[in-house]
Amino acid sequence: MAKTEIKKVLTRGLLQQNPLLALLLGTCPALAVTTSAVNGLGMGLASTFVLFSANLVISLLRKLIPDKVRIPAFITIIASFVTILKFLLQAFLPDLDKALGIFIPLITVNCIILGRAEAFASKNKPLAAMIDGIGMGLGFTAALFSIGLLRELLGNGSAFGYKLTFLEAIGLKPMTLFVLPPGGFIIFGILIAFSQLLMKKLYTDEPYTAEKAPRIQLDKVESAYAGQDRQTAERKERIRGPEAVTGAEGQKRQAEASEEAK
Amino acid sequence: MKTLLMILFSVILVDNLVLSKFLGICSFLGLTKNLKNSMGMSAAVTFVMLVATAVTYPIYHLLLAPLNLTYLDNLVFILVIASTVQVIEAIMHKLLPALYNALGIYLPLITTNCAILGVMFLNIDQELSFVQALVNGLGAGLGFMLAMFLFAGVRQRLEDAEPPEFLKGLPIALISAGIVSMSFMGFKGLVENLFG
Amino acid sequence: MAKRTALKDRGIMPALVLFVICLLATTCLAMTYELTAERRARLEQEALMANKQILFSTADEFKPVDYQALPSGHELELFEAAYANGELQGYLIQASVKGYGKLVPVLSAFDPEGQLLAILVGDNDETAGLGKRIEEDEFRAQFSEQSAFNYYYAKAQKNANPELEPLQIDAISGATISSEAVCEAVNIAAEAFRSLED
Repeated sequence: MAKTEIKKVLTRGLLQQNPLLALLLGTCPALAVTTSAVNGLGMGLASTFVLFSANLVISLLRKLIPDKVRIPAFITIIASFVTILKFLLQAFLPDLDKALGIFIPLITVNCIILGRAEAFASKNKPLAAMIDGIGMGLGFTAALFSIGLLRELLGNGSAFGYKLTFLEAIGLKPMTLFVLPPGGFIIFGILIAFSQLLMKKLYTDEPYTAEKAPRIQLDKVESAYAGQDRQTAERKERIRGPEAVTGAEGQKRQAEASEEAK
Repeated sequence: MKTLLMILFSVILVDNLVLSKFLGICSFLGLTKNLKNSMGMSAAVTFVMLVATAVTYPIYHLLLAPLNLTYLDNLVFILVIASTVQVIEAIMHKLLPALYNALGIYLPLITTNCAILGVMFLNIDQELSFVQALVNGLGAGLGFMLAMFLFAGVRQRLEDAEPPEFLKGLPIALISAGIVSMSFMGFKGLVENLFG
Repeated sequence: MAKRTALKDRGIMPALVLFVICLLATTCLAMTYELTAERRARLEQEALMANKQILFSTADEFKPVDYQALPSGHELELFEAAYANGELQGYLIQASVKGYGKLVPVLSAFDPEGQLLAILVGDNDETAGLGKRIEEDEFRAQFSEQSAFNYYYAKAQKNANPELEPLQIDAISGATISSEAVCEAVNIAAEAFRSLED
């Protein structure tokens, strides 16, 4: 693999195709365990471990796994690595294991891992699969770490477990809401907004939004979402007339209309 | 009976799977643009939860635990869920083709719904009896449905709102989800005061 | 010209391959389980020992105590005597009662005269911000320097034993179930202690 290719695969997972912020995968652990920076980082690294290992094994076995049973096979491999991870955490990092709790076994159904297995690892050489795993994993970890750090700062007035008393001095008292579920949603939303802004600034020729980013295709997920948008647009058109259809669908229709007018 | 009601109320309102425990967020965010789809999906999820609980509970308590193989629970549960979804897909294809076509692509997606695997683990963790586990599964599905329903309504309203450009779409939807979640926090004392 | 279906995709092969993968996976899991079992068990012991030392800081030895089944039928997870230089410091009794989530384990420390010294609340699944606050010093302090001859309760006074003095504990607001669970666990521990005396 060329050096630039490697660099591209590694970095695209960070912003453009950040699994959490752009592709919206793996959101469950993202909201649940990011109550502190350390937990977010731990979860990210744990998922990266599983992503990397599963990608590697699936890529190595890609010629041997029959097409009919590929999803169960992928799931078995992923589930096994997750269980191995759980043992390793219990043995060497028991505090992290307790903090992440039920979400470690839930890494099994983290859409990122199954999605990458399906879309990339099963179709590429082991080296590429490994690098893709690292890239996506790093992006996921970075996002989780950011959410965790923000929630800990705002909700607890601490960072990495150390209380930052100067925050109280400048009038920023800890707001417990941010370490509770609502805060998780809110911080996540704000982070997506800022990452979209950042992508717009960095990639001015291709404006990226979470809804326009290439989605990892779990079979026909992509067309499913498109179908949904179309249904919504049609319903709006029926009830409130064609002007009500805004957004991506609206632009599509305007484009179609102008095509016909020509 | 009282315990069963307690479990039901807890898992639907107080410890709502989506808004409190953060399980099933992928479909929560991805499907709630369309009310019909989200209702269909949550009905399917509830059904799978019940069936999966009914299958995994005996496997865990009669097979894995006595043989000291509890570490296989992750593997076994997810395979049971995957097979259950396959079987349900096949049955629906034959017997309820209309529903099958309506749900279409979302059916295989149920396998990766963390809510289902999560409920399996919660049943074990909370050391529930068989009936209690079934009620827990049912309640979890209903709570999921409730959350999807409420959020779909919120998102429909958001379509007409005019937030600042950088908040359009998902960000504002998530912030709204946060507010919905906050409202559910108001239920926290409910179970204790009703049944305590 | 149609390509011949690969061997792996024909007939029973897919199911067979899947079975083999499952078998390999299970083997790997079993191996990792065995390899890490020793270390995991050791960590658990160390955590438990740390808790025991918190309650009896001077103790250097903990010996299990023989006890008969409790009249109420409850089971204990731990019943040990703490010694410092061979001298009995007191007793450690752990009982678990179902709280809001799963069982809440409570480790109670009694001195030989029957004073409840302090309690420690172990790993639990109570609601963060509410029920989980039973772990905090403020709640636990209510049990410090109390008696093994009290009946502890938060809301419902269900004492049937005339020999016990009911003592009400301030429950955590909004977390009555969790608070009651701790009270119940302490009551069981006190019962165990009293069974020694007789």
